[in-house]
Amino acid sequence: MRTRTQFLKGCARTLVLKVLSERPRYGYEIAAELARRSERVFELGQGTLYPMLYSLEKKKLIRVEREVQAPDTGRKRLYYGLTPKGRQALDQDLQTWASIERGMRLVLGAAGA
Amino acid sequence: MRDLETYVDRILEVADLAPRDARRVRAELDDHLQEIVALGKQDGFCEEEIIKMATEHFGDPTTLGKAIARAKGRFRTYLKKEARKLPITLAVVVVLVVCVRAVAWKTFYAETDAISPAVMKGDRLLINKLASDFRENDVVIYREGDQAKLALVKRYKPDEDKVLVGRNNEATKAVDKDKIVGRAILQIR
Repeated sequence: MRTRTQFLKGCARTLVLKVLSERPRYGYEIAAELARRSERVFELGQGTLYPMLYSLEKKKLIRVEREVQAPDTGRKRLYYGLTPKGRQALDQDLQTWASIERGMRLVLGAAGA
Repeated sequence: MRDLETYVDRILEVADLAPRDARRVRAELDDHLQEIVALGKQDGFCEEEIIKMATEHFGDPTTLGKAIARAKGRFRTYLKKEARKLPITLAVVVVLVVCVRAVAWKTFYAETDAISPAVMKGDRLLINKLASDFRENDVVIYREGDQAKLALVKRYKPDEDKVLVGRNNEATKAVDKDKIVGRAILQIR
């Protein structure tokens, strides 16, 4: 289970960058979107999303694009978006992933991958 | 909802962030948890169940707090906190410097060659105003009228009230001990 968590975490960065490259989103939206699109494979403890967002922000790959106060509840929402550096990182991740996927598929065979 | 608050409190307590970051993180986590709660209510769960689900889904608060602290950078957080204290620290330093200057130390700029070559014109001196013991050839400052003057100690005995001082081309004279401002402890050419 532990290896699985570690493995997912490694992939999660790429997925978060991908989801944010489409449009700015807020925390819950990112988590929900990832869970939905991955058919719940990426539904790791949602709390871990935030440390990841903060560390991506620290590395200047993402930034808070805008703060929106929800009209009904008055709660503040931070929408994260990619920085130019974040787009580069995403491109690199996608290339890396493409080559890893190809390698895995080749070794494991199409049925295993 | 009390339990959710305690849960977020615990995360932030462990994370120990700078106040501004802490407010932001709290708002974000609150928002996220409330979303989960709203969904749970839609699905017809009772509040207790929802809160249990929400916090379990979110993860252990201590682990999460530590992860957030790491992600934010502990050193950065430290600097942010220190930066908040900076104005106070500076004020304290200024006050201390003013006090020390008033009580203990004074700087002096030699405008004459009155005791050259011991102190040359243009030298800067740091004067210890608390000095009460003098030896021969100590550099001292004494008051004469409203002037502060440089001199070399010629003779001093602890049981006497006067210090015998000399300046170039001037006769040696006895100066009251309480007219002596202090003794030079540092000299910069």
